Amino acid sequence: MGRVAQEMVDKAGLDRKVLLDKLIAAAGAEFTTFYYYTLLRVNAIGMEGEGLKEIIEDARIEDRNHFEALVPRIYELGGELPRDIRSFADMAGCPDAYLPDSVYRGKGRVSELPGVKQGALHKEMGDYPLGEGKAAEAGAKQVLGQASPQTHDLLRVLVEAERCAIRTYTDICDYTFGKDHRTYALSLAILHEEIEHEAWFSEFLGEGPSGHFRRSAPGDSPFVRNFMSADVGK
Amino acid sequence: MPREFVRAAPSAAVTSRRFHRVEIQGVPILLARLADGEAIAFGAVCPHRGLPLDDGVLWNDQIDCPHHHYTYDARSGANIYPANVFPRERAAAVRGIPVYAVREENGWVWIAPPGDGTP
Repeated sequence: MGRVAQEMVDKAGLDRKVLLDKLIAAAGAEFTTFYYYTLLRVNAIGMEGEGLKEIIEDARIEDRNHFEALVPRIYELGGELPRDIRSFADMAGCPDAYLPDSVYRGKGRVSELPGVKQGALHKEMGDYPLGEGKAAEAGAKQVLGQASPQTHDLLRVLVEAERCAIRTYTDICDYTFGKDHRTYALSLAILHEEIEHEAWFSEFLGEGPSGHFRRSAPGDSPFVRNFMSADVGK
Repeated sequence: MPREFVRAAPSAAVTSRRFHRVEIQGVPILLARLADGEAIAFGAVCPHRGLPLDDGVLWNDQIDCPHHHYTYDARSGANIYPANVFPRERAAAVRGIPVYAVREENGWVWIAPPGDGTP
């Protein structure tokens, strides 16, 4: 806890309670996403899954890094993590990134659902937005035509989770801009990485090139590493 | 203007940047404007956790809840995310938000009151 650091935030006109709610919700989302991405990575198997595994692993470890970078700031501002992890998960600022039905191999797997053939595309959940224009649509269909329904469903979960994270950190950046410089800088660093994650998964879905290159090591966190006191990317 | 529509707010008060809250027959309703300028009206509460949508935003004509980023189709009120990626049984349990018919006339936005509008 830093008394003057908190006073500066208060004097800047920010509602520290509101800010802490946003940060704890963001930390909860990172923590639960780390868990769900572990399941997604484990189930990214076969020829197609192997290609996805590396970027899922990068996103998974970097989301854990985001959690670890957020925690010190929460305490600096006078907040704390919930005592009960179940409460923490319920406070997460983004929906759970469940393993899709088409990939789930346990009880209730897709082949056991009434009226669903194993491997069928789940059109009842809504088609994936393929972008605008005929070229984008044709490119996406070409890629999706080659991908299995399972890979497609995995990518939809991943890309939507990243989009939620982008909205979360854009909101925190907007809230703290010009008022809480440290939280702003941290949130902006996380936002940079979430935007890259979305671009990777979006590229796999055929929405266009991401323009990004591979990390030097899994979970390198090129933007957030300066905010972490734990080891990163080693 | 047909009798079933109620005058809700001046057109100038309804923008695409912030949601404008009104109360019609005791029901809190938010007004906003889509990218093409069309005015919309929808329930002020996100059914996910019962939290207010007032500080939400419109993204690509989708209503984005500020609390957990559930998104809803601004015209139909149907949930888009996370229903589009949830397992089927969980997706079926995700509820939408009520939307209300809107007309704009003589510098005012008019709403078909709850019960008369789209559920």
